[in-house]
Amino acid sequence: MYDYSDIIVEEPVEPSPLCQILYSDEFKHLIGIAKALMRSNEHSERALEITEKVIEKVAAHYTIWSYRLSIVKGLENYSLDKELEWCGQIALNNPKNYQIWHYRSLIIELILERNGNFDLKQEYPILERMLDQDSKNYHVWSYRRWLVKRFNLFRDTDELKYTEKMLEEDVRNNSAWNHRFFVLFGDKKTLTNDHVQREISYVTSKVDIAPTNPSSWNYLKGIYTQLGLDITNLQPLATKYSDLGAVHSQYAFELLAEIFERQKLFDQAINIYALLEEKDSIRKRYWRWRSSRLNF
Amino acid sequence: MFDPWVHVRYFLRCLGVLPSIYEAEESNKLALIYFCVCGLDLLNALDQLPEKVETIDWVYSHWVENDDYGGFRGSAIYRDTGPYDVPNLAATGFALQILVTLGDNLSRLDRNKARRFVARCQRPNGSFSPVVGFGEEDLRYCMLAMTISRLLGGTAVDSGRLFEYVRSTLAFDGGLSMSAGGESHAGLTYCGLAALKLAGRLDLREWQPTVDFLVQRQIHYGDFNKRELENEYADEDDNGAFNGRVNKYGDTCYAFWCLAALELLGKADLVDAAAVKRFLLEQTLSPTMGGFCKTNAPDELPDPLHSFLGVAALGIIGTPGIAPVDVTVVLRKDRVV
Repeated sequence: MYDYSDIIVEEPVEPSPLCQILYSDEFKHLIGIAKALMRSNEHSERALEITEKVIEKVAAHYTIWSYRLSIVKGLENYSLDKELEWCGQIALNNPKNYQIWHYRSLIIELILERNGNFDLKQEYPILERMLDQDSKNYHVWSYRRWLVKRFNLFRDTDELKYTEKMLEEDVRNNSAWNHRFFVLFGDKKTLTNDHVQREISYVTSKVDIAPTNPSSWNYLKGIYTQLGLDITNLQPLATKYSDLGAVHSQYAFELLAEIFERQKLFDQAINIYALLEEKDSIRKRYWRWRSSRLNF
Repeated sequence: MFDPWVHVRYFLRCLGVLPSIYEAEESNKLALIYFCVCGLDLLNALDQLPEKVETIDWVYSHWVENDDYGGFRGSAIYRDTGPYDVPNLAATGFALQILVTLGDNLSRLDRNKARRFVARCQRPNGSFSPVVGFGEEDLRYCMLAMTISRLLGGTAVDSGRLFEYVRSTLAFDGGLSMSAGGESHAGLTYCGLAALKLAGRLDLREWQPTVDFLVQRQIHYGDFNKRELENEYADEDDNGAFNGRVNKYGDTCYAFWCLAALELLGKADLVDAAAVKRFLLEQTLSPTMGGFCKTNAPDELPDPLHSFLGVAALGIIGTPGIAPVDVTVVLRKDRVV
């Protein structure tokens, strides 16, 4: 605990005609001290402690982070590694707080600026703990994507293995699929045909595990459209899962219709859209529209 | 049948005195008020709102400016914090939406300073930061920047760079995401499309895969995909609902984001309006408290955001008792001319 007794706390909040919140004395005291410290831009250990309390109390506070950054930069002996550790603790306690991840990236930039290098290994334990808690946490995956880009981890073996592990646990984890797509295709500079072919086999094996899972079909089609490949090559797979008498999938039917359209087999495409209209009835107007848009 | 009055009472209750647990929402207060006031407006019940004049004055008290630009701060907790008392795009957007809903003509504003604030938030890559010079990249701020520009009646942003940025967030499955390479997300898809619509840069022909993505967000477990119910997120009661990302559960707010995004493209008629209406009325509407919950989980309580977006979604598809919605600035249709 630090001493704040020298700070004069003025009335920090005001009544409002709508949504009048009954502030506790504790809240008013905390905000009062924070405002006084921010006004004088005090760089001190006690100010650091106050920013933490404000972040815990008012998660959406939008300038407390730049104040904290300014303190961290201003305190000569304050360790940036310690600050990363603090970020991890705050993130674990506040899984929905997204400002923390942007802030974390700024601290890493600061470490790079000071030391010239940064040991990436220290990032993985916290990311794994966060994604163990919520395997689709949007902000954590965004941060992980930032790391891939910042440290050039495109097609990095460990990064790919991690997404494989996540997809083994849940083949429908669309966030993991998306991350994998970014790691593989986010930078095409050193992408080889071998990478692409191996990936097509990988995703095909995942389609076989769950043929009605939209994530793997989207991913497969994504590879084809992003790399400009010919979707008619997917005809065997699409045909395999468009047999009403066996395991089938609406995504296979849709893909098959698109392949027929490419092959100018319009009657066959129209028949498939009619089937989709009947079976995926919630989207019947959509399938009818798709059918009417066929490019004869 | 949709009973507007139970929701009017809900919004009025949220606008009243709130216990100290709401302290955590202090920085979002303008958003809370916008949801409730605009919700009342959509329910044709703005006449029930007390203290309109005081509210307008109170909103204006959030204005903060320097020599160059000005906007609204999120709360009195930023006042007198020296270098940290700065305007924020979200607060500025919500403040203007409240003022316009309450019939204020914005004559007390320095519009040029507000326009410059928006322009100063734009980054070289076309995206917007939440405050000048600091903060994460997020498509939401593009939408807010353009909403503010529209309500101010003119813009100082670079719409060419805005367009490039929004396109850069397009994911491989047709949805937009937070930033380049991100996972497609229906809420962010709405934000990107609305920003472009307001910038006069939205053309359906460029967004075909995005229409597909949005239409596919409507949940349907039928003969075709019963196997999907083994997914831990899957729930047969979600039929008709919209989810925000592939393989996630149905959520009230995505009914709005998806319907509104499709409406921006002129394609809201491609989804099943009756099915989504059924989901909202039977699964997430709170008949006793009024308002809407986020999902149909049994332990949930309604909240202002989901209540407002639930009402607005019903407004888009046409529901007696709810006024039509302007899906670009998310206000009652006749509020902005």
